[in-house]
Amino acid sequence: MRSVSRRRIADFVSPALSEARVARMWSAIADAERARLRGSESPRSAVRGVMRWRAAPILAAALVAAALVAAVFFGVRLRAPSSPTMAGLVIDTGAAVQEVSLPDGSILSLAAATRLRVLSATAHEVRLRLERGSVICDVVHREERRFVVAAGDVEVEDRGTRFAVDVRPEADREVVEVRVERGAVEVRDAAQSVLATLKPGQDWKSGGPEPLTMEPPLAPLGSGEPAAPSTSALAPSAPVSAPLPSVSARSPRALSPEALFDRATAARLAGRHADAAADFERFYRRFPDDPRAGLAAYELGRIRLGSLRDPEGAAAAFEAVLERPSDPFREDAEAARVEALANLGDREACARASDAFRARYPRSPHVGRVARLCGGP
Amino acid sequence: MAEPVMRLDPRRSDAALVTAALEGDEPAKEALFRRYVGMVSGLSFRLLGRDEELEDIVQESFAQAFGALHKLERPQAFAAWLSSIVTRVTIATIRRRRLLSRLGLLRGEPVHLETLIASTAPPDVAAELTAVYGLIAKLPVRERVVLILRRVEELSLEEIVTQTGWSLATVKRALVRAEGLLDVSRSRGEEGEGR
Repeated sequence: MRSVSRRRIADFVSPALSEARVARMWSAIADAERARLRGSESPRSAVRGVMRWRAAPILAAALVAAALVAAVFFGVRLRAPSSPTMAGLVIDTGAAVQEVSLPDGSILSLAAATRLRVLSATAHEVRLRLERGSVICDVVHREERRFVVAAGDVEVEDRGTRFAVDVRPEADREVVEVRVERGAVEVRDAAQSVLATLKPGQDWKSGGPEPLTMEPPLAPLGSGEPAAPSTSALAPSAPVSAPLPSVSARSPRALSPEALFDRATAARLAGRHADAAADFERFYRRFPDDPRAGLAAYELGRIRLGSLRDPEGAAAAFEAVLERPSDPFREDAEAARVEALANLGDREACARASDAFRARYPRSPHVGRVARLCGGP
Repeated sequence: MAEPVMRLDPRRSDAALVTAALEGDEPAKEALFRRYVGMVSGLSFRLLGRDEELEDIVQESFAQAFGALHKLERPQAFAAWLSSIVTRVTIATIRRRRLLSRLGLLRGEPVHLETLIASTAPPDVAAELTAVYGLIAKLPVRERVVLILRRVEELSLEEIVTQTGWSLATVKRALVRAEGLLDVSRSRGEEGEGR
């Protein structure tokens, strides 16, 4: 008998997939892939190196290209957002971080729990309304087309730009934050008065309970935070009466832990490694008591080790995880630190770390790889 | 009129991600992983009937897929191809566990229905799932897998053939046997309730 429910039966039998669990699985797969691509191990032995399987399963000898199964897996297909027919469409990311590539090459990176409405999408104007959450817009600027994101009581218009907009409820109002990474944007109110013109590195926040403070750039992990102030750029036309919108250099304090972590994840998924590393580092510094702090430091280490080719910085990030005795990523971080030391060419430290790791985690899936990392006579 | 709501936004298509992954783009691989980790873990979880070893299967499935990506003839069919991989990896795991159990090296583990089936399941769905998962531990591997793919995943026979790599005749035979045992199990349950 088939269910009369609109949901699939399978939807009621699903495992719990926390972000930490997904990250842990990806970490193991990525390690196996890197090992395979280095040619040191075959794909299957590389996988076994990170898996806890002790008995070799009898697996299918060959993988065959399957025919198209069930439109179930391809259920939702999208039309091009810059199509007039897209007007009125609402993008709701649910629990996922999503990326929207527009046909002109512009990219929208939406954090989890974000709701974005397409008000219009024509050759002359793309107008979006951010109803909740966070979006990073990497816009291909075109003179003949306006690109506008409305949020709360303001509108943000692109001027050849990469910028981010967040909107969240705070007390009885919606607080909007805008950050510019490249180019410039104008922030306007409902009457189209320019509230601020933002340049790279500048933030703007609508009047909330607390104006943002100036935030210095972040120093490398472990060296404290420098105190170099940044510029402020309040637009002349901004209203003088309270509450004042404020503009500052990047202010990670302005983001909630969720928004900052999601932004870091979105940047990583989009291949913006430096952005991702900066945000993961901010997260670790700003929210050390958050359960994801260890994961943030671990992710930072992985990015530094892999994409940014900074083994010294990676080792420092992994050490930050090790300072958290009960962190679920401690074992992974300690193994990854050995790799960082190996990449640094510090064979003595690498060997010490490798020995310590194997003594502490003799049954770890990382043991085989860690044992091979430091070379030796 | 209800507004159209787009919950997932895979604007970068599977085919584009597969192409990028073949060129060694790790973010593309991760994007594929994140897009399908729910599907892979869900399918495996339902076939296994428990959470244990799930992560190993997910890792093995993706590693196999990435290692054999160059063999994927139609990149746009990545999801279907991946689901066939996870099905086969899970089947291998079930067989291995059965073998170890027969050799006395592994203790049999009952299916815990209360943790397996969501409390939000409507009564008809919960009854169907209880009947299926109450039976699977007693079924041979093929019957078990075919029954779940048919009753829980709601796949057609042809889809089950593609997913498992078994012949249509094998799938049909296994399904007939499994359905028969399911009917017997249900009748016994109803008799028990009637007493």
